[in-house]
Amino acid sequence: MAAKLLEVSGLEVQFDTSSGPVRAVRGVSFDIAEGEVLALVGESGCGKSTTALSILRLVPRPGEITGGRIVFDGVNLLDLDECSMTQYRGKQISMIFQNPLVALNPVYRSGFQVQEAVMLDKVPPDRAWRAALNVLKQVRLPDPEDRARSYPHELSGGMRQRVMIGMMISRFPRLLIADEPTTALDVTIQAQILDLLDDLRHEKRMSLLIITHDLGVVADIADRVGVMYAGALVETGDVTEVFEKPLHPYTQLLLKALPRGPKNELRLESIPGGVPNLSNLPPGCPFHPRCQRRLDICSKVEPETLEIHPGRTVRCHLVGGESFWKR
Amino acid sequence: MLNYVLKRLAVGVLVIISASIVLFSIMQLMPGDPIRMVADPRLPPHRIEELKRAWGLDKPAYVQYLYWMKNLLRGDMGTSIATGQPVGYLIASRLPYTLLLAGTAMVVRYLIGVPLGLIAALRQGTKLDRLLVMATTMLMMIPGYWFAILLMMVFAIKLRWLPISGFQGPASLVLPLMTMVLPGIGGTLRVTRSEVLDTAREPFVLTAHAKGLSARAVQVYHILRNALIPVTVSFFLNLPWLISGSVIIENVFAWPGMGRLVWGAIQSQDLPVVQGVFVMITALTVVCNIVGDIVAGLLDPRIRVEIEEARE
Repeated sequence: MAAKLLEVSGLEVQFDTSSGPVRAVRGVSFDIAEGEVLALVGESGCGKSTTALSILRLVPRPGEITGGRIVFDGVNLLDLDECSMTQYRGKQISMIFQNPLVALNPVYRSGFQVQEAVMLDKVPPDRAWRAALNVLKQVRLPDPEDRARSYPHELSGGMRQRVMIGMMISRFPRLLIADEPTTALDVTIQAQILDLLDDLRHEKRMSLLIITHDLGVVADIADRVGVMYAGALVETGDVTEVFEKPLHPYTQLLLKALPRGPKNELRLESIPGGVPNLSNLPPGCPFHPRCQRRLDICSKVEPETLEIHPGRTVRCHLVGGESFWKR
Repeated sequence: MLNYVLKRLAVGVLVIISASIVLFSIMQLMPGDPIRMVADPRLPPHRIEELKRAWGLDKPAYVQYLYWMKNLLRGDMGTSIATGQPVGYLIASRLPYTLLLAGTAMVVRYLIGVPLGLIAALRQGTKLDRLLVMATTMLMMIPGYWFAILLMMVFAIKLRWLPISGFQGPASLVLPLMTMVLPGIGGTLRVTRSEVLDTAREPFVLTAHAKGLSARAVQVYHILRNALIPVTVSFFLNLPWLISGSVIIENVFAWPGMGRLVWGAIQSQDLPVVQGVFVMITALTVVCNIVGDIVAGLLDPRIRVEIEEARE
C-alpha cells in the first residue's frame, strides 16, 4: 500500500451565524494515498465543499475550523501560520472550482493567470509565459497561443475549465482537489474534462480529491469513495466495494437513484424527505427521519464510525450491532 | 473605439438639444421680464417695445429658441442683457475657476475617500471600520451652506488663518474645498468599501488564494484591481454633479466661478447667460459620462466587448 499523502482526522468546521453556530463538518476523517483518487459524494449542503476548502484552509468567513487534524506529508496544516500555509497552496495542494466563469478573474488574460501562478516559483516572466503556454497545451486547450491572450469571457465553459486546470497543475502539486469540476459544463465536455483529469493524474502522479454529487463521476474516475451526509462521512470504501455492497441505507438509496436500465424502461427513484437543516439536526442519526430501515436507537444515539477493514468504514446502527453480525 | 466615441458624442448633442429646449421652456414660464429688470421704470412704453424688438423678445418663444440655437451652432452664445458682454466671454472667464474648485474638490475627495474606504473594508467589522463609516456619514448630513458659514467663522473670523471669501490666491481655495470635500468623503468611502467587500467574495479571489498567491498579492492584484473599476468610473460620473452643486458654495464664498455667474443671471433674469451656463453644464455632463465609459472600457475587458459590439 502506498504511503498516505493526506490524512484528515476528526475535522470540525463551524459557521457562526446570527442564529447560532452551525456545525457544517462534524468529525470527518479520511485519507488519500499517493496517486490515489478519492471522491467525496453527497447532496448539496452536506459539507463536502467545506471539507475540501478546509484542506487549503480557505473556508470562507464566518466559517472556522474548530477541531481535528489535517496532516499533509507529515505536517499538520492546521498548525502552520498563514505565511507557511501559502507555501502549500498551489505548490503542494491546489484546487479547481465548480464554475470556471466566475472562478477566473475577468480582467486578466487567461494566459497571464497561469503565468502568475508559475511566477510564484521565482520563474522570470518570459519563461513563465512559455511554461504557461506549455501547460495550456497539456490541458489540450485548442490554439493555446491565441487563447492565452484571450480574456476568460471570450472562452467557452470547457476552455475556461481547461485554463483553470492548467493554472492549478502548473506548479506540479501533489494533490489536486476538484470541487464539482464538471457540474457547470455540458455533458459532452464533462466527459472530456474527466478524461483530462484522469490522464493528468497518471502523467503527473498526482493524488486527486474529487467533490461531486454525481455517482457517475465517482464510477468513472475514483479509486475510493466517501459518502457524506449532514456534515459527516457515513460510509467510505473502495468504489467497487461500495457500489456492489453499500452498507449505509443512505448510500443504498443514492445508488438506487442512479438512472439505469434501457432508456424506455428508465425509472428514477428518489430519496423521500429533504436534507436536514445543519443548524437544527434531528437527535440521533441525522439520516433517521428519511431512513426506511431505522431502529429505535436511531432517533436517540448517533452511531459511531465503525471500521470494517482498513479503508472501509460505515456509520450506522444497522451495521456492527448484533443484528449485523448475526446476519 | 473611435466610432463608439463619435456615436456617443452624437447622442450627447441630442441630449444637449433636448435639455436646452426644456430649459428654454422653463424660462419662458418664469414670471417677470428681463427688459423691465434692466431698464429704467420711467421709460415710456414705446421705448420698452423698441428694446424688446432689439433683443428679439417680441418674437414667439420657438422663434427665439431657433435663433438662439442657430447662433449657438456658430459658436455664438448670445449677449448678456444685463451687461452687454458676450455670454461666451463671460463663461470663458468664469469656467476655469469653477473647474479649478470642482476638479480639485473631486480629486481631494477621492484621494481621501478611497484610501479610507480600503482601510474600512480591509478592517471590516472592527471599531476603526465602524468609526470611519459613522464619522463620514455624519459629515454627509451637514448642509453645505451652513457648514460654509461655520468654517468662515472659525478659520477666517476667529483664527484669521484664511481669507473669508473671493479669490486671492491658493489660500482662498481652502475653505470652499473643505465645504465641498468633507460631506462627499462619506459617499466615496462607502462606494469603495462596498466594492472591495463585494469583490473579496468573488470566486476568483478564492482561486487566487488557492493557486498560492500571498494575502497581500491577492488584495492588490485581484481584489483592489477589480474593485477600483467602478470607483474610478464613479469619479467621472460625479464630476458634473459636483460642478452644478458648486453653485451654492460659490455664492457663499463669493467665488468668481460659473455658479456665481448663473446665480446673478437668474436674479436679473438675464436669460442668455442662464441658458449659456446650463448648456455648458449639460455639455460637461455629457463629456464626463463619455470619458467615464471610455475609462471603464480601458479598465474592464468585458465592457470593452460591449463597446465593440455597440459599434456594429
